Amino acid sequence: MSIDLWQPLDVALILFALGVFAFSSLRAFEASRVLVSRAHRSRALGVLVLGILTIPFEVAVLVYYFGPSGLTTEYLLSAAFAIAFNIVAFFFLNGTIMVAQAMDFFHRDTFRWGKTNTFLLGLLMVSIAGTLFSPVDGILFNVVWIGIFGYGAIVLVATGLRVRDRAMRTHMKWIGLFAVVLSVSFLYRASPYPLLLGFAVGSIVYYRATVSLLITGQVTRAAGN
Amino acid sequence: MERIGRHRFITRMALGGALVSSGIPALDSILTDGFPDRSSVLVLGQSGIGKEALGYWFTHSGLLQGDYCLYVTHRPVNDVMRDMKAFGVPTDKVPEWIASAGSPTKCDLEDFTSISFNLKQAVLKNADRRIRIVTDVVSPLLVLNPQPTMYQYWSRLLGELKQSDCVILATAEEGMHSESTIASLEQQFDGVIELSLQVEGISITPLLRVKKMLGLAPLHGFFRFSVSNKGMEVAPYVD
Repeated sequence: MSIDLWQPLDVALILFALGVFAFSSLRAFEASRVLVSRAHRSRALGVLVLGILTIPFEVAVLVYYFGPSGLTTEYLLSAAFAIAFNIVAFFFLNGTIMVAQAMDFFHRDTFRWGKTNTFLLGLLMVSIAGTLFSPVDGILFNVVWIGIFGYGAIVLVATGLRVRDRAMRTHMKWIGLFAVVLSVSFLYRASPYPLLLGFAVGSIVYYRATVSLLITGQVTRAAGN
Repeated sequence: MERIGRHRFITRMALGGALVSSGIPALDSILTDGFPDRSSVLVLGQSGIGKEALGYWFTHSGLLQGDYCLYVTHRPVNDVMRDMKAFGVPTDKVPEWIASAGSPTKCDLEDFTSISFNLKQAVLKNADRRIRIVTDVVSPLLVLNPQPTMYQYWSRLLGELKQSDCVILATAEEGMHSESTIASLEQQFDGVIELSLQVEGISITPLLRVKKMLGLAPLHGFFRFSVSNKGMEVAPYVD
C-alpha cells in the first residue's frame, strides 16, 4: 500500500479509535465488577474481551496495510488477529442473543437463531479456512462473514426489541450496530481508509454499547448524606 | 448516633410488631433490626445490580429460623438456584417455589390471577407460621398489563397477604418503567430500598439507600454495597 501512514488524518483516526477502545475496555471492566447477575456480568466481560482483542487487531491490520508490502509476518499477524476477532465476535454475538432470549419474558427463539447458530459457526470456520488456503480471492469469504454477522446483528436487534429492560435493549442495539460497522468496513479493501473510518466509528459504537450496560447517576445533596 | 438508633428502635417497638431479619446483618443494623412484621418491601434498581441477592439472603434467613418461605419467580427454579450458589447463599434448605419451570406450581405471567390465587392458597395453608414471600414478578406483570389494573392488583394482594404474619419482599427493574410508574409502585409498599450506581471518575460504586421503611424516620444517606460469593456487604458511604 502506498498511503503514507503519517498523514495527520490517519494518525488522528488511529489514535482516536485506540483511545476510545482502551477507555471503553476500562468501563467494561468496571461494569463486570459492579454488575452481579450472570447475564450482565458475562456481557460486560464479553465486551471487555472484544475490546482488548480489537486493539492489537487494529494495530496488526494497520501494520499490514501501511508497512512495507509483501511481508509474510505482517500478513500472518493480521490474519491471525482477524480470525481470532471473528471467532470471539461470533461467540459474543451468539451469547448476547442467548441472553436476550433468556431476558424475553416468553423466551422466544427469534428467526430460529437457536437452531441455526451451530451451522453458522461451521460456515464461519469454513470461510476462515478458505481465506487462508483457497486460491479464490478472500473477498468472497469476507462476504460470507458479512452475511453471518449481518444476520446475527438483525437477530440481535429483533430479539433485543423483545427485552423490556432499557439498559439491555439499548446495549443490544449498539452491539448489533458494532457488528455491522466492522463487517462492512472489511468489505472495501482497495484502500485502508474505509477500515480506518470503520475502526473510528466502530470505537464510538463500542463505547455506547459498553456504557449502555450501566444506568449511572449522581448522588444529590438532597438525597445524600 | 447511638441515641438516634435507640430512639428509632423504641419507636419501632412501639408499633407493636416484631422485626424480621433481612438476612444481611449490616442491613439489619441500618433498619434497626430488620423489616417490620406484616409489611411489604420493594427493592428497586437497574437489572444486574444484585437486587435478587437481598431476596436470596432474606429467604435463607427465614429458612434458618423455621419460617415458611415462598419464592415466586418468572424464571426457572434451576436458574435461581444457580444464582443463589453464585452469591454464596447455602442451598441445603430451599423455599417453596412458584416458578416458570421446575416447580409443581407454575408461574404463568399471562395469567396474573392464577399467581395471586396460588400465593393466597400457600399463605392460607401456612397461616400458623411466620411467612416470607420473595417475588420478581412485579416488573413483568406491570409491563404486560395495563398500569391501573396492576395498581389495583398489587394493592389488593399486598393488603390481603399482610392480614397474615407475612413479610413480602419484591424486586422491580428500574429500567423497565417510567418515573411515574415507579412512583406509584413505591406508594404501594411499606418500605423501599433503592440500589443504584454512582460514577466516581473512572470507577463506579454501587450504592444502597433506604428510601422509606414503615416505623422508621426517613433515612437520609447512601451506603456502599457489594455482592460476592462470600455474601453481601453494606458499609456507610462518605460522599
